[in-house]
Amino acid sequence: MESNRVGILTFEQMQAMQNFGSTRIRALSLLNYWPEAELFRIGQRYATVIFQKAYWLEYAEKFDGVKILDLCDPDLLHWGSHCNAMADACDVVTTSTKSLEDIVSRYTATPTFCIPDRVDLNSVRGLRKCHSENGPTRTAAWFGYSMNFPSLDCAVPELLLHGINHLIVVADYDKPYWLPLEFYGTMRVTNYVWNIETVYGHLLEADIVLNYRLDSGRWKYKSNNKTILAWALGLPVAHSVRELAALLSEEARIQEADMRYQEVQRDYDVSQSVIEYKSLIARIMTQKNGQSSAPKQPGGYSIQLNGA
Amino acid sequence: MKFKILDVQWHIGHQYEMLKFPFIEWSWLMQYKRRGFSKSIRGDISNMFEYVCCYDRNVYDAAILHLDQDCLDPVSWDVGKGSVYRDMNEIIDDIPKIVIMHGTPYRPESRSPYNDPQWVIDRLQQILGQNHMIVNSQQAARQWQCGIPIIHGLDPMEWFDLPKYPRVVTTLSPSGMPSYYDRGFLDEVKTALRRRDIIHCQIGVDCFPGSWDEYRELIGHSLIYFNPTKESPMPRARTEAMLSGACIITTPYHDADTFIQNGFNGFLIERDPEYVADLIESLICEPDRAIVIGQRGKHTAQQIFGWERFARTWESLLGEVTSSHKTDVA
Repeated sequence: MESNRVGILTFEQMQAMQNFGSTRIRALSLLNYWPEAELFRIGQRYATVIFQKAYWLEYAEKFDGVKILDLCDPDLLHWGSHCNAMADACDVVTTSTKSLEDIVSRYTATPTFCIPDRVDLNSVRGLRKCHSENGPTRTAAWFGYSMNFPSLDCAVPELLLHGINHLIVVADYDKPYWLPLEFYGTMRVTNYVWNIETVYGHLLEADIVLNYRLDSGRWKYKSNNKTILAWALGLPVAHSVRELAALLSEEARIQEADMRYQEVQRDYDVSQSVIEYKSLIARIMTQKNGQSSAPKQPGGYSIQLNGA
Repeated sequence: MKFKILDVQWHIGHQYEMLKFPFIEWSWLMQYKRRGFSKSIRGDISNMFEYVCCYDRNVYDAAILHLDQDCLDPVSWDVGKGSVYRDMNEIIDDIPKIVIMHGTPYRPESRSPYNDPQWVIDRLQQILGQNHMIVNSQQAARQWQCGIPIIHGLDPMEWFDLPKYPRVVTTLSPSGMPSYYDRGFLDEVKTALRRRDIIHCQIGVDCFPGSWDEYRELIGHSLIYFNPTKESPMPRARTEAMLSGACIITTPYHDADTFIQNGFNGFLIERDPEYVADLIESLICEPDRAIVIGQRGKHTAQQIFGWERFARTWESLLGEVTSSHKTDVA
């Protein structure tokens, strides 16, 4: 156990707060399929430490085991985050998206790989939306952090245009969604506070899930984790006006939901992420043992993910 | 032979005095809840210990863990500074552990039931187990109903007794635990002084010394030091001011009434802002009197808060704790 013990130091631990989506998706859900891994404990000896959006440079510089910086946001764009220095101090950087991998790899010689966000399928086992005999699409759901409400605002005119008259919003505490002023009173809005115990049930009240993406800033680096969670629940997802228009009938929803449900089972099972991490760690260990003092150079590593 | 002790960064002012113990070889466990120490507090102390990433068995004679009343709150225990104790206490299971309790069971600002002193005391008993606990005052030991008091000790030579300016100061952080430190009392005294055109200096709010030297010079030139705290067990900043020859005006709590004789080597005051402001004004008008009282206070501090006594007490404690542990193991 000692020789391959993995500690995951999470964003939640560093921030001394709870219920961050990134920690749940990129750390806690992996632990269910990774007996050698645990939440980082002060004083514990680890063979590998994964810093999940956790910038603890002093430790990374001192620790002589395998060090992985896991990113899900473009934190290197914030001057004060130590993201770049952490990336340089680690053996590899993992990212939640290819676009994030691309931007990070431009600023560090440390090998960078995308391990996409995936779903703990056991957490949604037995929960699947039944679309039969529900008729045309009438209820849409949106979930996420309230700071991303602008992506919902831009969908509202199209919802009305297509006869969708009920919007379910599941967001953070004390931040209810209000329709843009010009659309006030035009549709029913139900706000729920996000809670891991209830969020799936609230989403299943809807016919489709909205996950419009914006083009600006951090959006181009964001993962599809909300989409794949909705797909895992049997809910089709509209990412754009065009996709919304294509999901207005019961038949279209059933067809899309079935196809995506299979896709999630095939490509987005979080246990696959654990396999990828284990493979990555094994290769780093081999590399470190073979070239213990060799300086890191761009392209100097030949580490490959399984199937990459 | 030196004791090999594992500690963790917590309270630099307190730990600085311990790092000087000649009978200990220190390792500090890296932790992320309390970020790197500021060199403005005690200069660069990084050469006084070695950082280690993890706990290794068969290396240390004992470990020092830290707690205060806030650590016992469930949220702090899960993800806050309480988790430093939690993790270390779980992982270190083969050597004696000495817990320095930096606070008291008093936390009225917390939510119910965690603001009930009895809940805090009970919770401490639960998590303390067989660990040895040190507290910073006799009153703290009575409040916790356990703990060995070891009163802090400082090297008098490290504090500057400089020519006094007509200045009254208090060293207190900007926020947090308002009842514990009685920040309201401090604010009322500051207001009352302002009406007398005396501008009080709260170090850490009104000014920020850039180095330890700057801090010591600021205190060393101060005629009066005012301590408003209600619960802080033996405020170190008050001792620093005493060793710097400042005339002390202090609340009587946490043993202050056992070493301050009112009007002789300092002043013990009740919670009466106007009285305190009058007293400060009168002392500023009679600096010779304030200086004489300050010098007596300095002498008291040299007698009571000496570093040698502090070091001997810790050496003795470590000897007892480690030898009894070895006996138990055998």
